[in-house]
Amino acid sequence: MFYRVPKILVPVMVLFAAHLFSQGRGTITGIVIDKKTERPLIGANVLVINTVLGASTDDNGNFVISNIPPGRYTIAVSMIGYRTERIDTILVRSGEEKRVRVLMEESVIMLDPVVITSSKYLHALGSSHQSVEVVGKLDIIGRQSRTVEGSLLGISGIHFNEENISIRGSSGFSVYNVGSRVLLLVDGVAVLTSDMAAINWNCVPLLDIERIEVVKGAGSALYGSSAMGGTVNIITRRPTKSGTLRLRTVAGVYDRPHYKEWYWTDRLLYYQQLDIGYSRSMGPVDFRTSLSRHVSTGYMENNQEDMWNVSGKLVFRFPDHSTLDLYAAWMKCTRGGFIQWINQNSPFEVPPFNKNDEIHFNTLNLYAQYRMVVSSKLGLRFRISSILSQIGNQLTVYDPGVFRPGEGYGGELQADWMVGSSHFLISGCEFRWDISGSEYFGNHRGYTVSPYLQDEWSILPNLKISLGMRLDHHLLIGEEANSRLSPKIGINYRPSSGTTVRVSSGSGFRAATVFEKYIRADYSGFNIIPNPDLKPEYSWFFDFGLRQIFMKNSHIEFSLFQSDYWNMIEPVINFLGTIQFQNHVRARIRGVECEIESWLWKERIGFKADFTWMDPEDLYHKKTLPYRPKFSCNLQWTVKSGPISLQTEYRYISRIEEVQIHPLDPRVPVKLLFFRLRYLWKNLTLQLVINNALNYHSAQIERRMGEVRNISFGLIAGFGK
Amino acid sequence: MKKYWIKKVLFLTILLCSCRIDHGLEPISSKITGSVHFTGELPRYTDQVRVAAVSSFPPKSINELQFSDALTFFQGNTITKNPVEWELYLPPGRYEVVAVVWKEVKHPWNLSDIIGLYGGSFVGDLLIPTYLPVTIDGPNSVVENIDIEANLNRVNRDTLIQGTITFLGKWPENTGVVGIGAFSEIPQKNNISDYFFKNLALDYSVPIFVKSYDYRLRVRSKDVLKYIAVLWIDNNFDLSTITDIGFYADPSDPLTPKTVTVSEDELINIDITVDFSEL
Repeated sequence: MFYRVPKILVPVMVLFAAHLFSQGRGTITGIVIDKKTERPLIGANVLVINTVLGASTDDNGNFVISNIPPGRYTIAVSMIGYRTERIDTILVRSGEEKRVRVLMEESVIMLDPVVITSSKYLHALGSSHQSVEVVGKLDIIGRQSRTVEGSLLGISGIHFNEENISIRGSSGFSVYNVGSRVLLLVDGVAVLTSDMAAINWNCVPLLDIERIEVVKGAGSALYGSSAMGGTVNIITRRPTKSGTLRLRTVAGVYDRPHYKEWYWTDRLLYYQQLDIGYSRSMGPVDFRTSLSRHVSTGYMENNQEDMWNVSGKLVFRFPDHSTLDLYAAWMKCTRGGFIQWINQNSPFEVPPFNKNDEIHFNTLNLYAQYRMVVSSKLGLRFRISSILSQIGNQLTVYDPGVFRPGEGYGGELQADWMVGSSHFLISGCEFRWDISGSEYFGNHRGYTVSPYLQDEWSILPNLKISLGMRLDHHLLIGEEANSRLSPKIGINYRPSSGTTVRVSSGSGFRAATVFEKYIRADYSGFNIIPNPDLKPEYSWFFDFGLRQIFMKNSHIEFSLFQSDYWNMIEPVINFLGTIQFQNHVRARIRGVECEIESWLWKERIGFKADFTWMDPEDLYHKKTLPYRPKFSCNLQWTVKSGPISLQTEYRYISRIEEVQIHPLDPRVPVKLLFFRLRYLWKNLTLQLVINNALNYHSAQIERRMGEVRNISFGLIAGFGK
Repeated sequence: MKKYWIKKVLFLTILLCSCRIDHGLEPISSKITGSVHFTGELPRYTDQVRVAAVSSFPPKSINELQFSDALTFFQGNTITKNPVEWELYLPPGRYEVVAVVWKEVKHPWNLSDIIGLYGGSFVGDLLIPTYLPVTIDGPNSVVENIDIEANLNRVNRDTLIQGTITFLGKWPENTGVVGIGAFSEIPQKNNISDYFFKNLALDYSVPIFVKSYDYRLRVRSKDVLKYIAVLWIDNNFDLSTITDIGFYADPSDPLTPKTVTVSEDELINIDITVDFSEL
């Protein structure tokens, strides 16, 4: 006989179960300190391997992990700017507290950092079955990036066409970044807009970012629609316990174009950015808030930008070690609408009818995330989130009020369950409700329900197989529902210390957005027409990788990849300039990627190089896919001497072979040279950066000139612990 | 030893200074110039008129056309300068067609709205599609006296016809463009010039892969539309694949096109059915 349990009692029962599980358990406590200076390290991640347990160090470098069943454990300690340390065979007995002391060695290279995105749980990068790259907060500061996308430019296989990110050739160019094939997450929460499935790169202030993880290859088996080409996860900083104020300011000036014929103004063209962040703890509540302001004249006519960004994070720590995170980020941006140049003899000027065009963006991103550790083997995560986004452009300028905000409300329940000693099950269900409306594509509502399951099976201590799948059931109200199952398999093999072989294969998919299906508009001389019969696109990817760490300070990584696409949704422009999103393309992208990084002479001299070669092929039309370069490389040298470091970077992107809008326009490869000089003095960092030092002119997207040479000065200061 | 190093540094400096630094894209110096002489009446919904050059005709896309700046020859509804001088900066090469193209307010460029051709002529308002190529020899060459006659009456459309196009059967997978056109006579099969220059109005913005579409086509009130047809082009946008897939038929004889005299006939419910299963 079964009795109904009142719903209100379910969380109480879960907490009671957690209490029962905690009987007869032990605790690991410890301190994490800098090996050289012997100062405690704040914010280091401590993970108990093969459990769901972990902690971060406090302001005194201490950590506490309780509720551990008796047994032998290994902990991994990682922190940006330090080499990951592992401590093996810690014996935990019932009711006993085991204390450890972890010495961390400073390193400019993150050889095996802790990542979360490729498997939805924290693990070492070396045990991932997919290709993962990590950009730490120090890289972001070092590049003096003003935007998130600027921070990602040094990653192999990543290419940007304006704001459209392409990982290993996944995406071409779509106006306003519509229908992104790369999923953007903030702390694991999808933040693509509801109407266009577009990425808003400015949705998070830069000072909020702890690290950015980039997973290359489809991730739909865990994240569903849009994670076809890859996933970018912005991990925001956790608040510090004692009061900490961070300040960052960047001011730069644009040079004139190289050719006198192209001079178009006598005005000083500049940009400036100010970021302020404050963080502290009040009892069991930690909070952090950031404010960011960016103003730029742009380097072209009608290319100005004015942006405000405010965010806040509250972390509630409960006595049972569960946490509740509340996060809010608001962004408002007004930008000039430079669509195309007048002609190649006036490439920095817009035609008269575009001179007053503006683009407005507003986004509000909210989430609440509750994590609880039921036992050392079971962890739960509940999440609710909402993203509100509104875009306006010259259409709105001519015809105000035509766009309404896109609204996306979501929820997720995830359970991480260690079954025995060799299986780690990650299961959950995600829900999203989207509302969008515009006079240009009508009013639409739809929902997606997505259960998922993944098993990380450790067959041997150095061999792990990952099997997973996710079912996405999507319904746009008034239309036929469609369901998509996205499976994946991954293998990670570590034949020796420092060597990782990984193989993964899986499916990706993306549902057509309401914008792509229903848009009807005249846009800067182009007529965009709807295609209500647009079907979802899907892909199958294969990735083989080999990663070798050598000499403590060096690593090399080699990858072979192939992605096959069916029903690929691409904007197709006909001979009259009429644009329609169509399913026609059957495509294949295959390629090779190689990355090497080495630091010599006590990490005073560093060298990093990466090469990506790929063949993005439209199998249907038997030609190269548009807006994808076939070859790209980055070469970077760094010399450090005491507080001073000098970095030189050269970036080469081969000529884009196929474009859609103006195929007869001359096109050139991209050749950019950067210099970065940094000086550290107490808690201040001073930087001088020259971007595009040779003042090279190229247009990756037809009739939109890339950034001219610019010189910027940056100051970063931190006060408090 | 010191001399050796000085020599080495000097050599490297000279070598570096003598290297030409690549700056990527460059301005264009070569150009063609001439004048446009307008005839006919300026349509009141004129947005702009430009001279355009294309290296091969027919172009695959409107975007293969290289446009001059907008010609400044009118203010409001009045022509203020006639003839008007123009210049068009172009990279060296052979340009098969140089034409004058008209654009309607709030509409995209339409390839069929050509109102003059370099080397072309008119019989009444009908453009005779003959054209002369222009060759730019070198990076600094200027080709002058490219003078063109343009007839604005060709696009002076003051009324419109409307109806519904119904699509039956399965759309061909390789559909690229579908349009609706009104012609002064039935174009010859596979004669691209007929489709381009003998039309009275042509609109290629009919959505594809849909079940039906309500169209509106701007025409001139003095026109006699002997053939109103739905046109199809493949997804390589190869104009040689242009095909009539349906036309406005006489209800008593579905195989015969029905003539519409704009000044006399009713201009609504000019419905066309396209049955892909019968093509």
